[in-house]
Parts: sequence; structure tokens; C-alpha cells
Amino acid sequence: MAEARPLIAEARGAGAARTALLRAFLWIGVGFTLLPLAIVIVYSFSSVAYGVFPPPGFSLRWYANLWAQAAFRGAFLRSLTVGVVATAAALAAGLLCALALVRSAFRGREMLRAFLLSPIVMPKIVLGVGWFIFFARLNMQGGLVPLILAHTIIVLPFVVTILAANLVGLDPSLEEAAQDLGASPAVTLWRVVLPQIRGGLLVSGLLAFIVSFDQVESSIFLVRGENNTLPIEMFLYMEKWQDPTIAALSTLLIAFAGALVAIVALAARGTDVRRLLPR
Amino acid sequence: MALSGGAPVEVRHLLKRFGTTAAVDDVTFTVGGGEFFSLLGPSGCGKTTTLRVIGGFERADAGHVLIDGRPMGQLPPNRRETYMVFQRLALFPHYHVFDNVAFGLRMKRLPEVEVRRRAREALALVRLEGMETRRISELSGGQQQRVALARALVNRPRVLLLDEPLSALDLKLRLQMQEELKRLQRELGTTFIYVTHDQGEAMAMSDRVGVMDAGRLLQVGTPLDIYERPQTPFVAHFIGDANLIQGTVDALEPRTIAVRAGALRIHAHRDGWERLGAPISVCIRPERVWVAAAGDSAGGLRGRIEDRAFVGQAVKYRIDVDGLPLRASVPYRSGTPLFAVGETVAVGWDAGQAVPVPADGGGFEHADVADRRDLRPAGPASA
Ligand SMILES: Nc1ncnc2c1ncn2[C@@H]1O[C@H](COP(=O)(O)OP(=O)(O)OP(=O)(O)O)[C@@H](O)[C@H]1O
Ligand SMILES: [Mg+2]
Repeated sequence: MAEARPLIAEARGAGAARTALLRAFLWIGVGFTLLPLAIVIVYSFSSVAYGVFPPPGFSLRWYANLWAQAAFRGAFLRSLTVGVVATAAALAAGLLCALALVRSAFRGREMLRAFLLSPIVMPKIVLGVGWFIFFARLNMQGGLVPLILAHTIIVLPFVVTILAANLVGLDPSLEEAAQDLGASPAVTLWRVVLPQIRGGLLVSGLLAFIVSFDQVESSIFLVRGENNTLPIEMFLYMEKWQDPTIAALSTLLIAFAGALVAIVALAARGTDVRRLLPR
Repeated sequence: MALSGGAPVEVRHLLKRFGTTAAVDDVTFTVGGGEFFSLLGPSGCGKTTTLRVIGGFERADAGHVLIDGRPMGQLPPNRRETYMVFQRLALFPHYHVFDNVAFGLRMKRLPEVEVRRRAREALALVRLEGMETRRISELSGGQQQRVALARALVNRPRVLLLDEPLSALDLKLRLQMQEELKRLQRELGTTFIYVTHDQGEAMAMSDRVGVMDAGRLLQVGTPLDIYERPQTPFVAHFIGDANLIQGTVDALEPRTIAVRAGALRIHAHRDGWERLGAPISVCIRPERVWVAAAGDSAGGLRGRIEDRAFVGQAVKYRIDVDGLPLRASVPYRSGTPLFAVGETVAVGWDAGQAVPVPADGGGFEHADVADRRDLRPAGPASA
């Protein structure tokens, strides 16, 4: 016993040191993430037009200026529309893809899986150029449809990955039981499968929406001024003006994103979070 | 509610392979409408697979399933009149008990009043009143099994497929549920196809039993039939306890045969198919073996008690008879004399109680499928 004690103490000391180190890294990481956001928020309340930090005084004038820019309002609504519709489309398509990948064995399944995930690794600029030529050929430039289609494809990999991971954890005999009790495949999907992957649907939907809302590189080839999305409108504004209006808008977007996450977190309460993550 | 009555089920030359091994190998049987039929066999013998083909969950590689005379073909489970109690239960974790039980009724779009009434009835049947709003994860294993039963029974199926539905229950509850199920089956007139590896359960509940091993259906018959006339050593061993003595037919007499087994010559019942000089097994149930003090003039064989166990209603002996291990189970009443380990005794049996079984080259542990296949035509039916 007496001999064992120094060993234990040593192990405990090493453990404590490691915990402290991990904790330090954690806070450094959190700091790196939050600091730029904090700077943006403070900057948005600046009283002057030029970029100086900390600002000499505080005001709400940039929020007032933001309100006056009709272009931003239109762009926000467009981005919202594109994001919502693309997310819905990706959820519908992604669910079917994930079901096929998990539930049935067919030739070329792994190839299909790789293909579905490829938009993640493909440079978005390349995709954008491709779509630009494609939609030009179809005479479909402008409007929201090309944007929605493009964003659906870009967010699809996220949805498929998360939903497939969810479905792998589901017991297939539950679906058999539902069918045995008279449920058609569609009813089985609706009453048995979907309720159990609710968390995955919420999380992948949120992720898809945010990726779409944030999308610049590919969108830039598909907008023609009258259908600018919000990030592109911000980009254009910044080319002309360097005042804190963009900071004010960013602050609002931070609040918007925070609200979205909070809503999803609330809605996903009670679902098994471990099953949400890809294995 | 008018009872629709159980539907007859016919299984013809069913074959189901997984990879290269046949999980179900040329299985044929018929279950009458309203009959309680059990499939009995050791783990991995293909019981679940057979049941899943009948229910429509598994596509057969060959053969047919007919329900009520209609070939099922590739009909999906939701369009068959069968309901299944799954081995792994498959209860819906996102519904509470009541909604699990009501699921099938709601699929039929019955009025909600009717759904409530029948679901409550079914829950009462399995003694789960008051548990309606429990989550599945809040139930014990036995309670979950009863929910699974209720979820199927509530639909008043014409054919109910049960895959070891009582395996998670303790002995007392299991016996109680066996009686309950049997009563239900009789009252509802439902056809039951009941899978179990518990021979006691199969014997106690079934009208007829099919014994399976390694994908093959070895014998079908009433519990009595199978107990009294096992057609293979495997069946003899699997149903109840059995002494199986291997030997060759030494003499054919009008009602009995004599079998030479090593140094011994024993007598058994004559069925008619036995051939002089052919290898044969003799099945003697331990409870049919009598044991007496060696000095008595009763005759029989000489043996030495190797081991003794008192189990309440009987005393079980392991006796060495000239190198042949023999088990005897002697009914016990107060005052029955007990023999001590090491004591020399006389043992014997009524020849009519010793059943000839076609030999298959070994006891059931080493009997392999090829041998058994060769044997099948040699059964009493074809003699
Ligand atoms: N989906 C499957 N894929 C491959 N092999 C399978 C599959 N299902 C069953 N098997 C095999 O088929 C054989 C029969 O299995 P089955 O489940 O029918 O046995 P069982 O008699 O129900 O056994 P138990 O009493 O253990 O439930 C086994 O050897 C099993 O390994
Ligand atoms: Mg099984």
C-alpha cells in the first residue's frame, strides 16, 4: 500500500496537469472564435465612419443607415428564401439518398456515396463556373431557381452524412414491425423512421440552411445584380464603403444565427445527441 | 366482434440460403386453421428464418407459402393476414405503451373509440392495465414482451407468428403466460405458429410440433407422437430426456426386437421397419427405467450407481451397465428406498416402452445432416 501511494499521486498529478492544459486550449479556442465577433459587435456601435478600434464614441447611426439600404432588405429576403427552399429540397432528397445508402445493398453503392459527398471537396468556384455555363445554356440566368438548385447540391452532402449516420443506428426490425401491423412503406417512413431521426433532421437542416445562407463563391456566378444574395450584397457594399454599416448587419446576423441554434437546440431536446454525429 | 377464425398455412419445399449455407433446407409442413403449431429446435436451426418467410420479411429462394389456400408469392408483410411477435420485440421507442398497442388498429383506420376499447382490452389481456402511458424504455424485459404480444393480438390476426415470445419471462410468469396464450388461441381460434427452443413449452402448448435441426424439419407430430415415436436420435434427445443405445438388430420377434449393443442384449418394441443385422438405436426414457435391489429375482441387467440426484418428485440415477451409461428417473414417494452411489442394482424396462429409432451413425451431438437426409425414407411411414 505504502509503495503504491507515490505512484498514484504521480498519476494524479499528471492527470491534473493534463486537464489544466486541455482547459487552457479550450479557452484559447473559445477566445479565438469569439474575439472577432466581439470586435464586430463593438465596432457596429461606433460613432465615426472610419475604421478605428476602439471607437471614439458610440451611436446607433450605422443601424439607421442599414435600415435605409433597401438593397440589403431585398437581399436578406432572397437569401432567406433560397436557404429555406434549398434546405427543404436537400432534406427531402437527402433522406431518400440516406435511406438507399443504409437500407439497401446494390451495386455501386459506395460509388454513389462518394459521388453524393463530392460537392464538399469540390472547389465552390469550379462548381459556380460549371453552373454558370449550364444555366446560361438553358437560358435560366437570374432569378432564384438556379441559386436554389445550386445550394441544394452544395448542402446535400451534409444532410446525407448526418441522416445516414442516424439511420445506421435505427433497428430495421422496427420498420418490419410497422409493416407487419399494416403500415405501407410511406406510412412506415412517416410514423416510425422520421420520428426517430428528428434530431438528425433538425441538425442537418440547420447546418444546410447556414451553409446556404453563407454561400458566396458559387452564388457569385449565378447572380446578376437584381437577384443578389445577402453575402454578395455585403461584399459589394464593402467595395464602395468602409463604414461600420456592415458591422451592424453582421451583428444582426450573429443574433439571427444564435436564435436559430437556440430554436433547434430546444426542438431537438430529448433526442439522443450521440446518434446525431457521423461515426 | 365476429371471429374470422384461423387460416390454414401451408409451407412447401421452402429453401432459404444466406450465402452458401441453407438456413432453411427443403422444409414442408401444413398447419390447420386454428391449430397451435410449434417449431422447435436448437439455436440457429432456422426457426426464425422459416417464420420470417411466412410473414413476408424474407424472400424464399425456392418453395411456396400458402395462407388460406392462397399463394403468398412476394406479397409484402402489410398485405398478409399474418401478424408477428418478433424475437427482438421491435417495440416503437418513440411511442408509449398504449400507442404501440394501438398502432395496428390505427393503420386499419378504426374509429378512435373502438381503438381505445380494443387496445385497453388487449392490455388487460396481458395484465398491463395502468401502464398505458409508460415509455417502452421504462418497462422490464417481461413487460416489454407482453406489450409486443398485445400489439399483435389486438389485431385479432388469423395467423399469429410468435418468435420465442416468452423467453424473457421468469419461470412463474412464463407458465402463467403459456396458459394464457393457449386459452387465447383457443378462444380466438387463431392459427398459431410458435417458435421456441424450449421443448417443455412446445410440448405443453402445441397441438403439433415440428422439430428442426440445421435447417431441416426432422419430424412433425403431436407432442405424444414425437415423445413416443421419435424418428431420429436427434429428436429423441431433443424431446425430453432419453437413453439412446446403439446396436444392431439381433432377432425379430412378433412384438419385440432384440438388439445387441456391445456386450449387452436388450429388448425393444417392434415397429415393423426393423431389419435383421441392421444398425439401430433404442430410445428409453429415464422415467421408464426401473431400478431394484440386486438381490431381487426380477431379472433385468446388473448395474452400478454412479450418481444420484434427488429432485423432489423423483430420484435421478446415473447407472453404469457394463460400460453403458444409463439414466433412470424413479418416482419418489415418502418411503421409496434410495440406492447409494456405488451400490450394485438391477435395472430394466418393459420392452414395449423401449422405442426403436433409425440409427444415423451417432448420437445427436455428432449426427450430421448428410446422414439424416439418407435416413428420411427409412422412417416407419415408408416401411
Ligand atoms: N440475415 C442473415 N444473414 C446471414 N445469415 C443469417 C441471417 N439470418 C439468419 N442467418 C443464419 O441462418 C441460420 C438460421 O438462423 P435463424 O435466425 O433462423 O435461427 P433460429 O432457429 O431462429 O435460432 P435462435 O433460436 O438462436 O433464434 C443461422 O445459422 C444464422 O446464422
Ligand atoms: Mg430465432
